Amino acid sequence: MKNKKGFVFSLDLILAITIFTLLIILFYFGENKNYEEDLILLDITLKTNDLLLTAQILEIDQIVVLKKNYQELFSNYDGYLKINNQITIINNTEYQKNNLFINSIKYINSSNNEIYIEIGIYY
Amino acid sequence: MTLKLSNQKAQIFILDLLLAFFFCLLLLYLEYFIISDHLISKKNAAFVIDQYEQLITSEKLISDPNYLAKKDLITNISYKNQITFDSKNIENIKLSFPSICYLSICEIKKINKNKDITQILKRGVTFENKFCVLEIGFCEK
Repeated sequence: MKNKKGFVFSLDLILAITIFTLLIILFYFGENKNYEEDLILLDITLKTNDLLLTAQILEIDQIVVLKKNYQELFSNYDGYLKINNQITIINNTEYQKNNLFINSIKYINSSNNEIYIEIGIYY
Repeated sequence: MTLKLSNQKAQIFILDLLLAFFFCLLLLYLEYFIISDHLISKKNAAFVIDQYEQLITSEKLISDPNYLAKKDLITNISYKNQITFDSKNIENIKLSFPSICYLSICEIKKINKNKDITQILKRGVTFENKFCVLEIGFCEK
């Protein structure tokens, strides 16, 4: 009977240690990853907002002009640009990334034309 | 019979001890990794928080008329992403954000403290009716 108690104690210990360490590992690893991803996303969001806002202020309706501005801000990211029916794809890196961030704006310019601009960024 | 039983008892006792010892070692090994990871993640977290602060600072600079954002003096409306430079605003930036040691717009340098820049943030703005890249350089605090 005493021998069985010894075994039960060991098993209890094993279980307690395993669960404890797993919890700690999950807690630390999980927390860190999100911070960095969120940071990248925030950076991309702010810069795409810049591109869209400046495009509206300057009434940019030519994709070449928007592409030039994109290259100045996002030299390390692939993506695409869309102004009404014109689309251009930008390949700045060799590696394909899976996540896509899309932001868009619609406004009426001084000539009373509706302009739709969409920016997609792979990260 | 008694000898056989005590042998068994001893075997179980030793096995118990060995198991406990093994799991203590395992625990120490895992704890070592957890602690070292924790220290690294703390360092990373401090770095990430710094980066967040820098992004928020850049956003404040281009949207607050006390810094770089354009302000209509009649309507008192300020315009985000539209930049004007005046010496008073540059002084405000220097006072409010001592970690900013480099600032340039359309490659015209407005602040250059000649320190080691740790990070440069780029923002897209309009300046004198054209698109410009505002570069904000941060140094160590």
